[in-house]
Order: sequence, then structure tokens, then C-alpha cells
Amino acid sequence: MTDVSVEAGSFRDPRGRIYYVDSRVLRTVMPMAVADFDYVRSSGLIEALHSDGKLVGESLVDNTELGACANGAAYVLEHPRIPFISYPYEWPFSALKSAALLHLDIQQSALQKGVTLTDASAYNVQFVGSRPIFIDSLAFRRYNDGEFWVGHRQFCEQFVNPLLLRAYTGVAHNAWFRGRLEGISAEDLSRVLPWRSRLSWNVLTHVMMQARLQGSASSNDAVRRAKDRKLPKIGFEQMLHGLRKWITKLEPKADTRTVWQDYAGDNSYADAEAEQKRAFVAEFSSTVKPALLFDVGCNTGDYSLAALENGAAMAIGFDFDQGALELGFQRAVSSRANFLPLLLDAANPSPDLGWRQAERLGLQRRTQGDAVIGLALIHHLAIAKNLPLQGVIDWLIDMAPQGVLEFVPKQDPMVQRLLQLREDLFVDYNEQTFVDCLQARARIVKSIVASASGRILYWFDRA
Amino acid sequence: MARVLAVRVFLSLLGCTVMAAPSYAYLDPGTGSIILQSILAGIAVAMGVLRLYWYRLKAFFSGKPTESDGQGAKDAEIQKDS
Repeated sequence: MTDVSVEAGSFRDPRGRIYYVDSRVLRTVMPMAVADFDYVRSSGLIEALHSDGKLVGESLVDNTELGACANGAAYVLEHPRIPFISYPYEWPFSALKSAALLHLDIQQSALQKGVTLTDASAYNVQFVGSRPIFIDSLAFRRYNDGEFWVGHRQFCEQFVNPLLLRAYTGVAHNAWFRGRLEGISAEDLSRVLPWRSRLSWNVLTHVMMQARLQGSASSNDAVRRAKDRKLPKIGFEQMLHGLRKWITKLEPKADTRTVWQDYAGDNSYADAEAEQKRAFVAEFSSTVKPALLFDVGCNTGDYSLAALENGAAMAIGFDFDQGALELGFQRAVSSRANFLPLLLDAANPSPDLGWRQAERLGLQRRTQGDAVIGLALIHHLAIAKNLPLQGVIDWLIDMAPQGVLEFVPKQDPMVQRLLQLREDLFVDYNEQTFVDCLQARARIVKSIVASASGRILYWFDRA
Repeated sequence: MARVLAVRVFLSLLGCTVMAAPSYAYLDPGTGSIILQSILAGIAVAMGVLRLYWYRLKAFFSGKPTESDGQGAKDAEIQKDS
């Protein structure tokens, strides 16, 4: 019995939709898209992008594979499944930047083949490890000489403006982007950027001028005049080239170094203890061999990398610290590890969002993995955030059937630091309660004392 | 190479004056974005023309027609980058 469901976020472009048939990903190509589809495939662009690893693969399959859902469709395509879907409001700065550069690369390559993109949605980029990949193979159509870059405003809202926010003000894009799924408008950004940003020609034009023009050009007459304008291809190419050069140079504002960025050199346990933890994670990983591992509170990814070197196929890290995520992403890029660090506030994970609250899935519906590790994490949630201990442990265990969780006792310097300025209300926070909470849901396979302060690692199995 | 650039600029301008290009777009590009793009394009084309004449002028006075190859190399770089 096959289970067919439609991707709830795939409705904006009527030229096709995404369906899931059991674990397969299928896409309809409707008759209105056929001319463009055939033209683009004959241009060789799709093959070239795919062989460069920039575009998700595709193969034509028989329409019957999709049953009644293929009614009216001209073609049905099958794509390989992306193991974990993430959203731009979960990406660190460098991930958003590399997605922006990928989008520009694809638009530039397309233009050379007489093809353009129908939009510039950041949601069309996904990550395999730290490598961005474009997933919308129907976003291509024939380029008509003189036409505008239809996706320019969207590219600004979903890529450029969020990057500029961090680059000029030091404020990360994530909370704003999550609140407004279309990204950050030029009008809004122009109100918060510092005056000196206007010295940049690109900020002046793509943000300030665009905001002003959008505001002053809403009359019918202006819309009619705009429709009559043309963009020479050379102007289009130069605009893409200019944007690419500019975005390549954007970096987070320099004075926004974070606490956790320095954590590795500043933490409370000695190198030998960290090594012991790594060895435990390595042993766990080589036994379980998880295809998908979640590392909650990943910091810069030490233990994800240890797991990946020892049998894990892919690791998704979560942390709330922008500096740590940034370093983690750069480590993933330089080591080519299949590791993607994402932003997560455990007390407020990404909810279901968008149209009918089904367009972008909440974290809980995406975190079904093979293994989970939560190291140096639970005391932050239970003590610093006042989250109930049983709830925290249940939440982690729900992510995967097996995992490693760390208990950090009250006498540990890190917990003492958390309690420095506040009353210790956490009478139940102790090893026995921790073990009881864990055993209420899972079997303890193995445990080790991992520090002189009495930290303990528990390997659990709820299968 | 200067000639190639000149031909490209000319063809682009010609293309834009004689061809209407109604095209399917499910996305509203935004009036502000369109006006901005046409301004940026105007500037880019003007710069292209100016650069062309600048290289010709330099070549005329220096007597070295190879100067324009520099632009050709730059153009090639743009192509390679994209």
C-alpha cells in the first residue's frame, strides 16, 4: 500500500508540485511548463549544473508512479531525497551567504544558456553537509531578450538584506526571517541600517533606492511605465556579477564575538576529559552507525566530527550561539565533513509556519534521526532555562532511538556559574533523578564518568 | 575584443528597443525593483560605452592597439566567474 502525500509548501508555482510516495520524492510537470521544460533540458544547463553538484538530480518516471495525482501532468520526475530539510531562518550567516552565491552562480550559468530563473526563493536551496544545493528543477524557463530579473526583489529580501543586517548592525537575521518568511524588505532594512552604510554603492542602490522607488512607484501609471522598461542582457549580467563580488566580501560585523565562540579554549574540563568524551562518542557512533545523527548543543561541532569520523553518515548540529555556529560551519566547509550546524533555541524551536501552518515544518516534525547526542547541554536547559528535567530528556529521546546524553552535576564549575546570581531552586536536579528520567523511557547501555567534577555520559537505547 | 564588446552593447540596446518581452512570471517582481534594474542597467551600459571609448582613446595616443586586450581579458574573467 503506497502512501501519497503532497508537499504542503509546494503550491506557489502552478507549473508543477512535489509529492511524496512513501519515501520517494516525485514532481509533476504540468502542460503549461512543457515548452520551457523541454527548452531548458535541450540547452544542457540541467546536466551541467547537476554534474557540478549545484542542482539536485532528476529522472523522468512513468506517470503511473504517482497514481491519480499525476492526472493532467505532462511528465513526472523523481528526485533523490534530501536527508534533512532546513530553512533560511535556521542557517548561520555563512550558510545563507553560500546559498546566495549558489543562486547567483546558477542564474549566471543559466543566462549563458538563454535560461533564467522564475524566482529567487532561499527555500529552494538546501544543504548536504555544508554544501548548498538547488532543489527546484522547475524554476528554470527560457530567457527572453530584454526581460528583467524577475527574482531581484526576492533575492534582496531573502539573501542580501538578511546578510546586510548582520554585516552592518551585528544583529543576526534569524529571528526576523522566522517572523517574516518572505525575508527582510528593503523598506524595513533601510530604516535600521546605519547612515554610513549609504557610502556603499550597492547598499545605496539595492536597499535605499529600491525602498524609495517601491514606495513612490505604487501608482498605476508607474506600474505601467515599469512594465514597458527593458533590461539589456549585458546589464543583467553585470548586475549579477556585481552582486556576486559584493556578497563574497560580506562578513558578520566584527564586534559581535560571542561567549561560545571561545568555549573550546575556555571550558571547565581538561583536554584529557574532552578526549575521553570524544572516544565515547566515537565508540557509540562506530557501533550504531547512524545515517542521520542530531547533535543538540553542538557548539563548534567537535563531537559531530568525532561521530562522522567513526561511522555516522551525516550530522545535523543545533546550537543557539551564532559565533559557535559560524565556526562550526567553517569547520564543516574546510574538513568537507557531512555536518550542518543550525540555529536552535531549545526553549523555542522552529514551529510549523506559513500558509495553513503547514508550509514550513516545525523542528519536531523533521527531527526523526537514528541517533542523538546531547553533551554539556541538559544543565543549560534545566537550570539556566528552568525547563523540566523529564521534559528535556523526553524531548531528546524522541529525536532518535539511541543516543548519548551527559549529566553535569551541581558541583561542576559550569553549573556553579549558572547558579552564581540566583537561588538554587533545583532540588531534584541530581544524578538519581536524571537516571530515573532516562530509564522511564530507555535502557542504559553504558555509562562513564567523564570528568573530575563528576560529569557522566549515558548511552541509551529505547528500541 | 573592443569590437566584440561594442557589438554586444549595440545588440543589447537594439534588442531592448525592438523586442517586447512579455514573459510568464508567477512572482510579482515589484515596481521598485524593475525601475531600479533599468537605472542600474542604464549605468552599466553607459559605463561600458565610456570604457570602450577610453580604451580606444588610450590606444590612439599610445599607438598600442593591444591595450584593448586588457578589457578582453576582463570580459573573459566575467564570463569565467559566471
